[in-house]
Amino acid sequence: MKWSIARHLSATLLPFVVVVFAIGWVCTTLLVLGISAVKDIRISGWDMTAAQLARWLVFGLGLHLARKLLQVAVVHGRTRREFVAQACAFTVVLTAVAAACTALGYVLESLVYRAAGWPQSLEQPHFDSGTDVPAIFVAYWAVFAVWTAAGMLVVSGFDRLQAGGVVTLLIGFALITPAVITVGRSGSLPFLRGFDLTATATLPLALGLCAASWAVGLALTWGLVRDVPIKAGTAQP
Amino acid sequence: MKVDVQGLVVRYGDVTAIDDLSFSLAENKIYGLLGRNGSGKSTLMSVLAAFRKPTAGTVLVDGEPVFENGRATSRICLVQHGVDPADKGDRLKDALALAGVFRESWDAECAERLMDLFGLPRTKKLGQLSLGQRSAFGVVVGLASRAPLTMFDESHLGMDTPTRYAFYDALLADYMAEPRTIVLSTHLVEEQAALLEEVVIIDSGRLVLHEETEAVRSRGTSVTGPTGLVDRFVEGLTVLNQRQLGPTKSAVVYGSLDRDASGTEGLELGPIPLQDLFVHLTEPAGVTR
Repeated sequence: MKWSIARHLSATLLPFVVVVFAIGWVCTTLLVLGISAVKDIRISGWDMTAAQLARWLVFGLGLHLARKLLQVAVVHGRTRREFVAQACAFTVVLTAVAAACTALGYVLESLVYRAAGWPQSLEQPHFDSGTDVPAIFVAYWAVFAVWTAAGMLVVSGFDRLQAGGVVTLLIGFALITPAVITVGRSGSLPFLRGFDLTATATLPLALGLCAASWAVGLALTWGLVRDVPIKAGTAQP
Repeated sequence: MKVDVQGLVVRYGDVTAIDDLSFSLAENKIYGLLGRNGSGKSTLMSVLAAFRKPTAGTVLVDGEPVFENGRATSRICLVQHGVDPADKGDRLKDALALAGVFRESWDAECAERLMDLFGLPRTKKLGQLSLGQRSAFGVVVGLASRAPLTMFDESHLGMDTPTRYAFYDALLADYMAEPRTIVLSTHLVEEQAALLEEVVIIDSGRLVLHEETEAVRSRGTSVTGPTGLVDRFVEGLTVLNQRQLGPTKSAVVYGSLDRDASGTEGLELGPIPLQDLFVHLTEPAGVTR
């Protein structure tokens, strides 16, 4: 039964993530092809999908992990400590897979754009080309890890503190801030417009800040769920 | 699995749900946990299953503390309404597979047999089940868990009569095959009384009674007859309830009757159902019916 929780999460959620990314890429590409009929294509469609939507996907998976699956594990006789330890390890794998899918999306898109003769302009500070796989991978891995931890923290806060969970919403926002202003584009979230450090922050610095946010997010999540009651209604989707 | 509860207190803000509760359960018996609505039954079971941390006191199973102790919790299963064993979007077959992943003692064959017994559709999603079906699925999860301490918190809810009887038969058959400590919380006291070897009655979070079911039954007697005779007979006894109809009086007494036969002349003495005893024992102070 060792690591059975992480194995279960990997067996169920990783294929889900891959399928969602595949659908996302196909839909994005079809949309771009449709737009190309009426307008010149000058920017990367996948750049927008990956930067905007994918992080919300992993944020949602963080919510799912901490809200639903924690309860199921405890119901079946596992401890909160076991679950959180294995879920944290799993988020590393989950976000790595999501980042790999993102990088693959850029590569595939670069092939499509090249065939169509379109420029794959990326509005990214840490990589210029859709084929710069290592930089794309680590940048998105860091961003996704932070957003997953923020999702776990926020839902744990509302589960534990009810309306007081709004505090964790603010903390979650603070956690993702370093990722937004040093890795992603600063104009992509409200309140952060004008705080763009992407030009000055090196990738290692950005990754370090994201790693710290991720660790703080998970530590705070553990503080909230370590003795959280499992009660009727927690299971509601 | 042996259970020891000492000085247990659970508070929700200003409300004390469990108030200095102490009792022990021996292993391999079927216990009935009885109490009125809001008496603390579900809270007590939640603490026994480590769903909730107590405010004070200790809960030991086979000498081990329960809360956040995997050695203990892996051997405990609580089936409780509203606390689902899988995601509502999961199909039942996937929910069973999940139980097998998480629980070492899971008996997949038993689960399949019970799914057939209750006629549960394996491809239906948990959230699409009726209340009775969800209860039946809870019974499947509870029995197939093979947990040495298995607890069912009103697991009959929504079940029709034939399904409830199938549940009782399955429970007894499983208990005979795999003896373990089973706790049933129920309001269907009389219907489930035959299953229960011992009853634990709690009220307002406090222990009212913990005895063998037959011993409890034998202590309750209804005494009916002319008012004067009944009054003389019950003098010095614990009277749980009295009713007067014209010159005839009926009283429910609790405790062993140490009366010779001559004292019962002109009176009708009879047993009272466990359910009635439970009602009288948990009657709020000052209330007579």
